[in-house]
Amino acid sequence: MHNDPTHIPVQARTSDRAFSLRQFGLVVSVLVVAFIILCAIFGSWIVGNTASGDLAARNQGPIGSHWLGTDDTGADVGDQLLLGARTAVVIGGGATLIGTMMGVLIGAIMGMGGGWIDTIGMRFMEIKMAVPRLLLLLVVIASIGTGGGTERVWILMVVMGVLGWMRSARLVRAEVMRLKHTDIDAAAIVTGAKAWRRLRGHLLPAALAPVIVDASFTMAGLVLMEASLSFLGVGLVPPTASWGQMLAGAVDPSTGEFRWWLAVFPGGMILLLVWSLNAIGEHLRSRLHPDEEQ
Amino acid sequence: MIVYVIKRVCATLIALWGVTVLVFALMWWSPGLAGTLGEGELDLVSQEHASSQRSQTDEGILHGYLGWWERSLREETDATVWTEHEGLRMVMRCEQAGGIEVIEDSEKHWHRFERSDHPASSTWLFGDAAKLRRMSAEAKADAADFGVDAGTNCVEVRGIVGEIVDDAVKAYEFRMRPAREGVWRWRVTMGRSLATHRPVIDEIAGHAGPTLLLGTLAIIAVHLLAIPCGVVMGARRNGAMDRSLNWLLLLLWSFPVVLGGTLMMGYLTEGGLGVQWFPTGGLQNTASADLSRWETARHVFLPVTCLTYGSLAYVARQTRSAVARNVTAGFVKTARAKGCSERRILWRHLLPNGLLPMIAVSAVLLPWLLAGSVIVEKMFAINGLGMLAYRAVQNRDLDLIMALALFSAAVCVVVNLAADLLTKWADPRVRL
Repeated sequence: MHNDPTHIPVQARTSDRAFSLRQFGLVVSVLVVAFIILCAIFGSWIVGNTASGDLAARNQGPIGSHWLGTDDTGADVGDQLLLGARTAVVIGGGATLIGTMMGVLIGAIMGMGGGWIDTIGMRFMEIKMAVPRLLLLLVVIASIGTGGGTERVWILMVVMGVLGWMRSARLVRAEVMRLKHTDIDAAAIVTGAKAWRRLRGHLLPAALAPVIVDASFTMAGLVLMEASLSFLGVGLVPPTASWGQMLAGAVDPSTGEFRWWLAVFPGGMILLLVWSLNAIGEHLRSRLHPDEEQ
Repeated sequence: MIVYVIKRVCATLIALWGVTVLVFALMWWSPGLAGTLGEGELDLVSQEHASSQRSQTDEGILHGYLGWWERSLREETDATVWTEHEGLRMVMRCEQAGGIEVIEDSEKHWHRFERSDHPASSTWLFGDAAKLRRMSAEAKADAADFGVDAGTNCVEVRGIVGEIVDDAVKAYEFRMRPAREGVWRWRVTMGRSLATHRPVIDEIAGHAGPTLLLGTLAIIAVHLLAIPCGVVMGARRNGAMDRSLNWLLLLLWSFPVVLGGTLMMGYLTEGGLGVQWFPTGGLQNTASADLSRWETARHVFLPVTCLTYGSLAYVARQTRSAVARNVTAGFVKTARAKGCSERRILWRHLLPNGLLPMIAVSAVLLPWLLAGSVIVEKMFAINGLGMLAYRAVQNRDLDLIMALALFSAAVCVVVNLAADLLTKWADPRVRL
């Protein structure tokens, strides 16, 4: 019985309990994301715009006055975590917003236009999907150099957004094509709606659900990507706090000394945010497609 | 079928051409164009090289792009070059392979140029210390006299005259102009690297080993771990096992590689805080015979783990849904009616059927692995393609970046094509 592969529980997804473990996970994830967003908004009120270094207290472990330790400039890790939340949320969220909006627009045009517009779009997407995104980002961001100061956050956000519209474009295109000649669209055509109105009023609202679900995964991916870039030293540079860049300081390049508090705390924040976003996306997806196995 | 393959190959070629255009345009229009590093970040010769890559800037992007193609497909070979300075005349033949032969020398001072031992720099050192000092003073004055003639068919011998001061080589640059045009020949070189002056294709070939090793091991590991997970999950959907594995896989998927790698560095390697099981890195070259198999395995274990764990979730999920789709299929009933054990049904009937769509899934992993290798190789100091890409980007090494982008795109596209054909071969019902 235990190994019976054909055994499919009837109450397949959610149990009848009002508050299942899965929903508990969702609530926790939402709370974590909300908390990090609050940190992002109010963090700079608490610690100022940049964490100032206390040169007398460099590389201290989490003892004494600095609860979470200090880095090699003597800046407090806790302060930097707060400030890093802002960059993570701004870059992750902003780039997701830009990418998704571009994707919706391009996908809608491709889906509605069809024909050669669609072909060109698909070819372009093919080209862009062929190059690993990290490499593309490295090329663009490294060529900006290490300058830019705080504007770098915005530059990174825009670049990552603009380079990341393919997934949502693909989704919207597929949905628009699927819905294009169904009854809701036919009804709109009958009422004399032009292409834009058909899209805005009828097709897009129906096509947006998978995009919104996907946005949560996209944001998780972008937060990871920013952390990786900053870790490599091409993303955000020192005056701007970033979790990935803090992580890079955990292993001292010259002495090989390991400062665990610089790995565990910022890395843990990245993990928390990414995990929560993925969990939210997962939950939304299972709500959206209850019977789709994916 | 053949028509399909031809069509796909054409589409592939167009896509790859598109990649070159896209990456070139991105680099061209990015604020810091290739080769705009500050002084001191590259050695003198590299700066000259950079400016030769950049010299087409004024001519516009089309010229630059065509110049890249030219550099990629042709290389200059032995050229005769000369220099004349204050009555001093020297003619020599410069071989692209790295040798220089003096043909005529008005003072008969120098008869041989030797390449310095360090393969990464093409500095040329004179043998005789006394003359060396004399030459260096002249060469320094010389350097200002010659402009750079790049973009045309000339070869310039750029060199460094060195003198040894306190065990350090103090170097001065000199340049010589060609007396006649260099001989061009067709060869796919993909241009020359800024940092090492070697043909890019040799650079890539020289660094591919470790990345290939890591990638292959990672792909094998992903499948060995993820497919059993997926089968177990798919067999009893929403069972306790499915849910807990799902939870674990989501955690692994969300676990940043930079954190995972750093923690491994900190707690599992020599010099770290925890157990000292693994070396900190430095897998330079798989071809090096001085590493025994055991040592190689120790070097490779952590990087492969880093590359592997994130992809587990994806492959396991695809397996899960492939298995779950077939759970109610007719052939399962047949097998059960024949009296197969449940275990046999699961592993011998359901799994092989579920594996078919997995071919395409595995092909998707490649770009992830290539991207992941940049981070992992940087972290574990492995001198592979990822490290090469990282350094290329840091140096804004136009030719190298273009070649690496093209290379990774080609790998992905070709593997995708192969996966489709393989699926078709394995399951004739699939329509391409």
